Amino acid sequence: MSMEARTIIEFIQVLAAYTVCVCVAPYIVFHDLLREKCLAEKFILSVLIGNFYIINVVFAIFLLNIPTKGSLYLFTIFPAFVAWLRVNRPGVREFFNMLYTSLSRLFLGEAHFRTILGALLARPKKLLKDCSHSFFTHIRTHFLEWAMLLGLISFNIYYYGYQTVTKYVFGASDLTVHQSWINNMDDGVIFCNGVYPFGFHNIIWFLHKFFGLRTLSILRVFGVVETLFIYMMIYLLLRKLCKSRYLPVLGVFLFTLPDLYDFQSTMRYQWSLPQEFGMIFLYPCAFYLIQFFERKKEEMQTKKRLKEENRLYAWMDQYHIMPSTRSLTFFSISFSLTLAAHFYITIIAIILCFAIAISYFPLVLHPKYFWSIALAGILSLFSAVAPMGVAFMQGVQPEGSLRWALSVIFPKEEESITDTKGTGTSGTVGNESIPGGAENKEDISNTGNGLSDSEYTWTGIPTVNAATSDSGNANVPDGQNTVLDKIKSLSGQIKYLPGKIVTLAGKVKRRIIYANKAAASFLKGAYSYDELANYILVATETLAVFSLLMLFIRRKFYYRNLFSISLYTLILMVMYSAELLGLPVIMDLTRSRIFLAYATPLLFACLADSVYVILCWPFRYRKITELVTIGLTLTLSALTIVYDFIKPLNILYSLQLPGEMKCNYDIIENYPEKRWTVVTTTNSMQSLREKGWHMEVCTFLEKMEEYSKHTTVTIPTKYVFFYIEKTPLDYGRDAYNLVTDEMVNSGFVSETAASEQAVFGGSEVYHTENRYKLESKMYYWAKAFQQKFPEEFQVYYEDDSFICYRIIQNEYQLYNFAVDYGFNR
Amino acid sequence: MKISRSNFAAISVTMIAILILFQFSNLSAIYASQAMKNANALQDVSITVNKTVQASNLLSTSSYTTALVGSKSNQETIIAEEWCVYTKQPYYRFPSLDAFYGNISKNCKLLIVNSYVIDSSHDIDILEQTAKRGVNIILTSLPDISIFRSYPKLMELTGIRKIEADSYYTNGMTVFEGFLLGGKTTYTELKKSIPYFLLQSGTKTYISASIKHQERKHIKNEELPPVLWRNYYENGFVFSVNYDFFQDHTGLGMLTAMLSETNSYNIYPIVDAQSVICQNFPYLSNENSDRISQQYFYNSKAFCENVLWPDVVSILGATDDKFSGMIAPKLEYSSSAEIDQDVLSFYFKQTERITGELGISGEQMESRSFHKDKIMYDTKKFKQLAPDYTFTVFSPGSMPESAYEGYLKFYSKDSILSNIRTLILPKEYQHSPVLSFYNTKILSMSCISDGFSHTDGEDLYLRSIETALGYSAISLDFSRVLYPSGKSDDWTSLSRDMARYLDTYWKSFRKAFEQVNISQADQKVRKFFALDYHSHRRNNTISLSITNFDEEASFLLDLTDEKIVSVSGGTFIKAEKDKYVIHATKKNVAIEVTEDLSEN
Repeated sequence: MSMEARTIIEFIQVLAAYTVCVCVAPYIVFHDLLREKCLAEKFILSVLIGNFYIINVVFAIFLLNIPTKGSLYLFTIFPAFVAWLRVNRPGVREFFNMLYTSLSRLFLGEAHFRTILGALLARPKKLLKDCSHSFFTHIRTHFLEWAMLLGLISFNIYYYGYQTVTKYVFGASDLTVHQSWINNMDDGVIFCNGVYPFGFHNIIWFLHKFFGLRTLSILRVFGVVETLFIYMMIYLLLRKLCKSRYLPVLGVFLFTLPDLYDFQSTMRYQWSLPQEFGMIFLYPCAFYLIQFFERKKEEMQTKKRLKEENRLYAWMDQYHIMPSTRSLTFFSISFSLTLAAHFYITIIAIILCFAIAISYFPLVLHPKYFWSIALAGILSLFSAVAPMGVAFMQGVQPEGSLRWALSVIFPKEEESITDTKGTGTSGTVGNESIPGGAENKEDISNTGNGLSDSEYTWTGIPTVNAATSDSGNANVPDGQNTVLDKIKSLSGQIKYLPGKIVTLAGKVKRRIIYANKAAASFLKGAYSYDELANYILVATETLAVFSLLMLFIRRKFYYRNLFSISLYTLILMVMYSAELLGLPVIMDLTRSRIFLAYATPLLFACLADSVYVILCWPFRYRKITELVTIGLTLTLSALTIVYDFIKPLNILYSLQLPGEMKCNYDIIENYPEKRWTVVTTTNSMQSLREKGWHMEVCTFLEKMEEYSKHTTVTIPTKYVFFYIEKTPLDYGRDAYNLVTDEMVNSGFVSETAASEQAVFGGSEVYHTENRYKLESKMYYWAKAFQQKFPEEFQVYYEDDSFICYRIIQNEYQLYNFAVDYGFNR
Repeated sequence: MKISRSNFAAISVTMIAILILFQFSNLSAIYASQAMKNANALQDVSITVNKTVQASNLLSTSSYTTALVGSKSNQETIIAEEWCVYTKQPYYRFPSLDAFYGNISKNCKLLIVNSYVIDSSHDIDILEQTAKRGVNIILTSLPDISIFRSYPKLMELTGIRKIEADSYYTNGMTVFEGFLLGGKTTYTELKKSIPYFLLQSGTKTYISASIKHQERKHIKNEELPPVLWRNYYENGFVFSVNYDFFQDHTGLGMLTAMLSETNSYNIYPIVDAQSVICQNFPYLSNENSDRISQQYFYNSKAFCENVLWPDVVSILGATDDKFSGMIAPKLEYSSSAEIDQDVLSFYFKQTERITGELGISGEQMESRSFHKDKIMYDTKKFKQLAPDYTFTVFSPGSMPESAYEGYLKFYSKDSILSNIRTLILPKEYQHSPVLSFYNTKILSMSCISDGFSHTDGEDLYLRSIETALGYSAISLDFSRVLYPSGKSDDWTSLSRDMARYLDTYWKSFRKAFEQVNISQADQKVRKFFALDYHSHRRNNTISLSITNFDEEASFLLDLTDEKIVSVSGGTFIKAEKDKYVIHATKKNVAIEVTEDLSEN
């Protein structure tokens, strides 16, 4: 089977497995509770419950030290079954009663078998009929939405799956680290490198263990799966925020098709990473927080009314848990999931909640709201932190990147000064390289939007800030002047007031334009075109001003929600520009642009919706007015396609050659477990670890570096494979290429490189120059060894850039791999 | 209850009919029996020596592919020469390396050298130059240690890094998987002092010695004394044999296995015949009855009929081996005991039933043998008792060649030996070849193993012959049973050994090779000698073209981590991993191979 076909099959498998776990299974279990909800809420609820359940089941079996397949099945299926029984008790009880009665009638000869069977199958038949009926009704009534959404989803599958299907390899170095952690879970060790949010790892391990899927396979394709959920969450939140039915699709479209965002804003969606996994739960936080406000208000009004009518108890009897409490519960679940997946998502979730809270000011300060939210927040934090806390109490230290993340959020004084010197924020988390350092420098130097290099001070703060602060200082009362002096001077100035107002208005206008330009310049790098930043900033401000204005006119939650989105976007913009503004850097540039980009479709859809509400809402015939939004979405789509403004395929880091991944699969599948060793760089180490052994190229070569007749290098497995890059990768410099291009490399191996002294250890042993030397040495070693064993040392796989050799050993009489290959004396 | 007359009649008729039907098959078998005729005796021999490829056809001074360097009388050279005939290699024998290098053929691919011809740096230079030309070298034994010490280049040539000990007492040896047929085997009885070398990288060891207390001495497997290994030198492989395998035909299989190691594949003709020969059985007389009665409570005749025959038939039946019995009419020709017609008929008929074959044995158990008398007596008796039976197989046993050669070559056409086509010789009988023509018509085949014993040496010998020829003839000498000399000759233990050995050591070969009687083996050997072949490989297709093809031919294909996908022009059987028996049914055979990742 070709790797392309295999990848597609694996994607379908993983998508199916994950969907069953987080959509189908929770829906079946909580079918009775979810029955009356709309499809959007059914989906969000299922996703939240499913993920929350799986993550915590995995935590439970690990913290109880029973991480076996059996206990996983038991802990997964049994509680779910009990919950299903409990939730669907009336139906189940009814079914068994009917079964008992039917069987009794059958044995008493009162009824035929066919009659009994008919009675027993009536319920499943009805269920099936209802399902199919509701499905087709839904499709009929929402055909256009589904058609547009499916079109966009298909594009996203193509866009984000292109790399995996055509290049097969991991695109980000982080993946190897995460794979290592998941592999350690296979060995019964969670938090192997220290305490870290393991939500993502738990899900991958669960899919691997529960369905028997290979970790390597899941990690290769899970990025696309999680991205589909991330995109769906944009749609679902917009369904909550927008009045129009079709503008949420516009939001998804804006994040899907047009080339609006910098490539770094969307590149990570190609890969299976914890941060992106956590993004699934970001917008559900907002969804349920907003829903809480709405429901709470409704409940309070109803309560007040019924109290006056003395019918309160009758009303309250119908609820075990109040709807607003349920919303808050799901808010806390989604919030805790963000923390379980990645700290950065929690930061963004806090910002989002903060924006919503500001929008709902002063309502939020009402004790009935405030304490509920505070309690929900505390509980969610507790539920997310508890497993990590337990592990910490069991003696596991925090993982290195946690300390790093904290140091970014709370930098020491010297560090913050150093950071603002324009070094960018490229760094390493464990083995996790954070791309973007080079781009950041470029972003800062090429400030073509009205600000030249010279306009920046050494601290990186633009002079416009200084100007603003100057003007600010002019208005600030001088501490040495007395209040009396000021009053005196004020009376003299009143006569010049009208003229001054006109001057001031002009000045303010100029300031706003100038400040906007300056602010937009800070956003450079966030979007694909510099001008876009300006427009997006203006759009944000417009939405903010409009929603605030409308809020004063009509105190509707709708405008509060719009304001919260504009505020959220503005805060993200400030966070993105924090370094340039001299503010504390909560998150590095590369990551913050991802969230800013993710917020942009919300902003545009809300802005469009506000226009729609103003212009079309007063009209009665919604179906006709919706044509405007459909037309807008379709026109924009058509224009994007006609003018070829489609987002180009993204980039891929030069970490591994496709041939290597092909060989990995082939070896894992065809060779007996633990009977083979692969001599290669570290890229494939974790992929191979599951089934075989790995030896590093540098270790292998070092052993025969000072070659003499007595040098011995043996590898004690029957099959030994040697991966050699004929065109060694340009590794370790954040070197990347378009997914459609060849991997960035240092050129064909050469004798010159092989003859040079290489380094055989250290963290940069496989970085560009040294990698070139090592791979060149390996290449000539292979040639020399093949001469001695022409039949035994065979080419197992070869393409233009990669070659894999295989040798089958007599395990009782191992080959001595040390040979004089001409460059090791 | 009464039975009516009509019912009674009907029942009686039915019973009679059933009786007749059952008896009919028996009676028809008796009437149709051809037991007193030899079904295997052909009118004439179709393949005589002049229709076969023999040494004389293969000797070539200019276009040889294999060069043998050594004296004519040297056992190693004789074995190598015999191997060249079996594998149809055009060859030439040179007395010295100088002579070889002076007349080196451009077709030469293999040089087989005796150790004693290497005694100067010039010889080593020649070996070095030969290896550089891409010719593979096999040293059938190693020169003295002093020569290695004197000429370090020889060490380099043979891949020896260091001489650990001039002589080291080894505790046995291990033949690794893939070299000889039969897989990895450790022999603990083959203890011997051999030079202890440490090998350098680029070498591959096929047989290594084991030593006592290896773990205690912290010696890795790779550092055990090598017995047979390969080194790559410049452009050729140099095989070194640090043992006396070439003192008998054990060397045959080694040569084949070493040749296979030089290429991605090796295809060569084999006999494809596995036979079991019961020497001196059936026994037709009743001599030594007192001794037999004392041990088994039967006289000799009854013992043979009631104990030996059923046992032999059941054991061979269990292993599906064909019965080939070498009749011993008498074992004491000085006695006056006569052969009974009934006994003779019994064995002939029983043999026919199990589709076995009968030959004549030349064995006698007297201190003074009456060879001429025996031949005369047997001739007379069989003319009398089985005049239509033509004996084509003769196993002389201890009878000297001088006693029977005349009968085979020149004498009376009325003798019992006058129609002999196949001569069964004991194992390593006077260093005679395993398979050869005794004269133009008679084929001589050697026994390979004793069915009542199986030592490590015998096992290695068997595996080697099986690898080289796909042939084995197991000899079961029943004179031991009829004339027991001690407890070890008791049939109880011998029958147990026989059953055990046949069912274990030959099992793997039975899967690959055909079980035949001696006459069938004779036919296969003649065809084997007659054919010649040529093979070449293009990508994954191995093409084989056979000349002098006669209905069928068998080959052994030795691959390297590959397996057969399909064969056109023949069929194939997997003998073991990488080794396949090809049965050609047409002159041209195409074999498709592909990579094989399986363990077995």
